[in-house]
Amino acid sequence: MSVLSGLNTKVVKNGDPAPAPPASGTIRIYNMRYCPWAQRALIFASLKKIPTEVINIHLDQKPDWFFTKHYKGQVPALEHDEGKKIVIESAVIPEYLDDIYPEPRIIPTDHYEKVQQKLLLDRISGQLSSAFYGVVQAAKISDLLKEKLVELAKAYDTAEELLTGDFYSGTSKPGFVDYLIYPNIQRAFWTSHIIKDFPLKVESFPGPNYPKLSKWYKRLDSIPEVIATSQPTETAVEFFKSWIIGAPNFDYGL
Amino acid sequence: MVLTGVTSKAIRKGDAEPPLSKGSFRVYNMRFCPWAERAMLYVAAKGIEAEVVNLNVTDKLEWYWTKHYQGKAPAVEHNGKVVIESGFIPEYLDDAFPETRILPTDPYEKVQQKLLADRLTAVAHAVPLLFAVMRDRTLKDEKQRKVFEVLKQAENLLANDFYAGSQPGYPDYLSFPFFEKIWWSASLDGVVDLPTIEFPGEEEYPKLTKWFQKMISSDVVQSVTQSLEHGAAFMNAYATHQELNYDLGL
Repeated sequence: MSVLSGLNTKVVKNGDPAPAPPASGTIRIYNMRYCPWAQRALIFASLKKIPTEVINIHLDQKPDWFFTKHYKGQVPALEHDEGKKIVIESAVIPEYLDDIYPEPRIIPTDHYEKVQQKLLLDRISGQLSSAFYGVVQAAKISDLLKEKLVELAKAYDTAEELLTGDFYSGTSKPGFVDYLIYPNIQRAFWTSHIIKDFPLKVESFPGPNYPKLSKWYKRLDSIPEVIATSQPTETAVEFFKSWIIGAPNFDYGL
Repeated sequence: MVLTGVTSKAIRKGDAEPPLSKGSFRVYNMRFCPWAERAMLYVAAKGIEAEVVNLNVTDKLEWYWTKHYQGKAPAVEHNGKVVIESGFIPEYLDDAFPETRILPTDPYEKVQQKLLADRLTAVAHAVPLLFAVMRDRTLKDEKQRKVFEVLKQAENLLANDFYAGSQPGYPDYLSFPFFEKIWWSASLDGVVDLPTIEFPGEEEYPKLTKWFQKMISSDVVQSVTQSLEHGAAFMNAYATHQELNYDLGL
């Protein structure tokens, strides 16, 4: 039983009325079902079993009222305490949730271990996501695409190298870094179905060049609390096709 | 003075690693680097007794790569542990030395100050625009327009005497070094039309001007920073790809 209600509801857009404040004891996450940054917040809420109401936002036709939740109109945004508290930024919300809902704690409490996890996330995530979005933007320009695919392979080489155990947490269970980079890697999995000559392979993703990462991905992909935040592959691939050509269908599959 | 070695000569390739005695705290710094200055300010504000080692980051030390995988400043080291990155060191210091905590303990207040510091990184991104003008003065009008926009946003985000409230705090210490770099730029001819006296200008930025005066004259800032003259000269050399003198003014 997922604690996320409203995950698979249609997006709200410009002209739609502002929602009432979230009920006491419930948090609200403003989301877009295929957004990897927003999924970070959903994963933490799911793991912590926090009763959560999800509202999906149309990212090209944002409601005016949404800019009172995030000054740039981006997802995710977290709203709670009956609307009195709003927190934004996908790497900040998980930390905040760990502070206000400490069971189960996901980020290490030891100060040094905690900062090392943040540094590791910064190092891997920045490289993976910028390389991935570089590929997506170049997808229509074949000259540039080749170069961007090389950068993507390099980013995954680094991710493979920095994975020294089963998980980036350095323990026998996934942790902060694992949960926060998983969504972007899943997006690359979806895209591997679409772009020709993609260096990451669909079969046993990301493929034989990344043996540790392949095992890691399979493990993360089978966690119920992560699955509860995710979208089926076939639906996601179709959304990504629409997004890559510049006409995203935010309600695809609903 | 809780910081020693602030004005020590930069060490470079070939120099041996200075021994760090047990229990001692060290900051690896580059005197003119705004990112390193964030860590220096936080250490000074917390009153941590620290030894500063200044680095020549052009002629990089071999052994320093084991402390920072990119060989950059800042890094802090104590009890055999090294922490890097100016965006992470301050909060780590508050966790490791909680008796002089600067960030609020309340989770919501803490996160809001971190988000405010995040928004103020727009000031950090404005600095390279002025580097471009140092290389090519014809770009001045175009680039300074964006700098002025950033300063206006920073003015609007300043709701009290300081970004943290009635006293300087996390967002103040993390953003100050970049305002200072714009101030250094203002002292160079033809780079940006901003005053160096009462920077960035009482008329356009009244709150920010008061804030900057308070910050630049504070003991914390004065204990770690460089003079306007030397800072501007170093920055100009950096921007125009000239040879860098890490010991300028010493």
